[in-house]
Amino acid sequence: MARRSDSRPDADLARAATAGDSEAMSALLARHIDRVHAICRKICGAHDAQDATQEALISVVRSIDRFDHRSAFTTWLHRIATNAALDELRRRKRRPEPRAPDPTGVRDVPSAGSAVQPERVVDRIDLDAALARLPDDFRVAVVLRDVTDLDYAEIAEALSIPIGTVRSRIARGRAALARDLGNFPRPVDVQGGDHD
Amino acid sequence: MTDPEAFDIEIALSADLDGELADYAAELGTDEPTVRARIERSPGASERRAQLVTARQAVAAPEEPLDEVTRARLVAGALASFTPPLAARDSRPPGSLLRAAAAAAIALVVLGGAITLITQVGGNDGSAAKSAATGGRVRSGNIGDIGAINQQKLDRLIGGPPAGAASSTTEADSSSAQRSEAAPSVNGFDANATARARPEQVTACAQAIGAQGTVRFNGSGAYNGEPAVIVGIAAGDRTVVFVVAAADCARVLYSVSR
Repeated sequence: MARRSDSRPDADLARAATAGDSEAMSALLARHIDRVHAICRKICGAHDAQDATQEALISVVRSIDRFDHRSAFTTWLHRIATNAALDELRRRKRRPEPRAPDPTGVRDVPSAGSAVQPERVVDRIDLDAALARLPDDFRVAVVLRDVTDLDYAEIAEALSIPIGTVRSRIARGRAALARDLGNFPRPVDVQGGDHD
Repeated sequence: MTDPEAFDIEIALSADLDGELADYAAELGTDEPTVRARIERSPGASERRAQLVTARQAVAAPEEPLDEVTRARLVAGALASFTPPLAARDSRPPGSLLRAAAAAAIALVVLGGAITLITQVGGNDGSAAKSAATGGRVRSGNIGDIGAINQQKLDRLIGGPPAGAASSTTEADSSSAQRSEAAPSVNGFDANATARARPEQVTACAQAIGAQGTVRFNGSGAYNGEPAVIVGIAAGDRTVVFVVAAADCARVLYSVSR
């Protein structure tokens, strides 16, 4: 499908956008919107993902001049997307829930007209429910590792927490997901919590 | 290990999957081979590892990409808040950057709408798109306050509903219009809305979204009970209508192109 593209690297586009080049800003947003949406989708669920994505993109536009180029643009972007998703979660907790709570924790289901394969729908529902049941801190760490492929040091930087905390949150979160998605045994010596 | 009791099989397995085992070993005061050997001695370690791999793969599975119209709406919504630095503003003709941002946003919206329209109409000669584009007269100038904003009123602003049967209207609407999450799922967003945007908000949003010479019409109304500004922009043969929050022009509540 035809789509506007700009082959310049992220750092060059970011510099140009900082200098006022709206075309560069547009190209940067278009290049990374799916990545931002994926993070928001998995942190705050399908229902709020677009709102969180919108807030993240607006944040990028408004704060591009504060990107210092010391880290990769995507690292900075991931931090913004994560913060936008967490803000959306906080907003959701503050507003009244218009729908009856779903005991499964499933927040959205692909529409009947979706082209998604049935087995993928089941997987999607299972995963959404399992992610929704994770504590926010665990979910964010797992998503940053498995969706964005950041290493532990980068996640620690993005979340401003020690690497040991990142390590334990990922381990606890991933183990909880494994238990939810399959029959991963509950460890007798661990009941969650951070190991710094 | 300096503290054998600190070893945690869950953390060790997960760190190993992520290529972070050496750092974990260092934290335990030992080396990677020692921790790896400890993992191998742990009962059920291989089964646990396989289940963690499955969980990791599930999370890492790619999301369905956003459709082009949603993508365009979100990018346009963000670009509406683009403010170039003072130095850049001073070195360019007034308004040129806003026009560039709006042009980029419009191009994306029109491209996304057109692509999706053609895709969803589905392999015909695009008659629905043609009829939509030539269906009637597009309003211009200040349209004032239209009250509760609904699909029918927006249709009239951009030349009436697409000509032809209801089915073609549905196709055109579903392909070129994009509702926010807050909007009801049926036509007519909120018939009881009474909130109004102030004139200065209409002016500000029209300036932010469009640029001189490209805005076909602007006005105000209430979208889902919220004061909103309506801005119609000419883009080639098409008209793109943005419905944005009066209090925040960057928040696009609804957009439609025809």
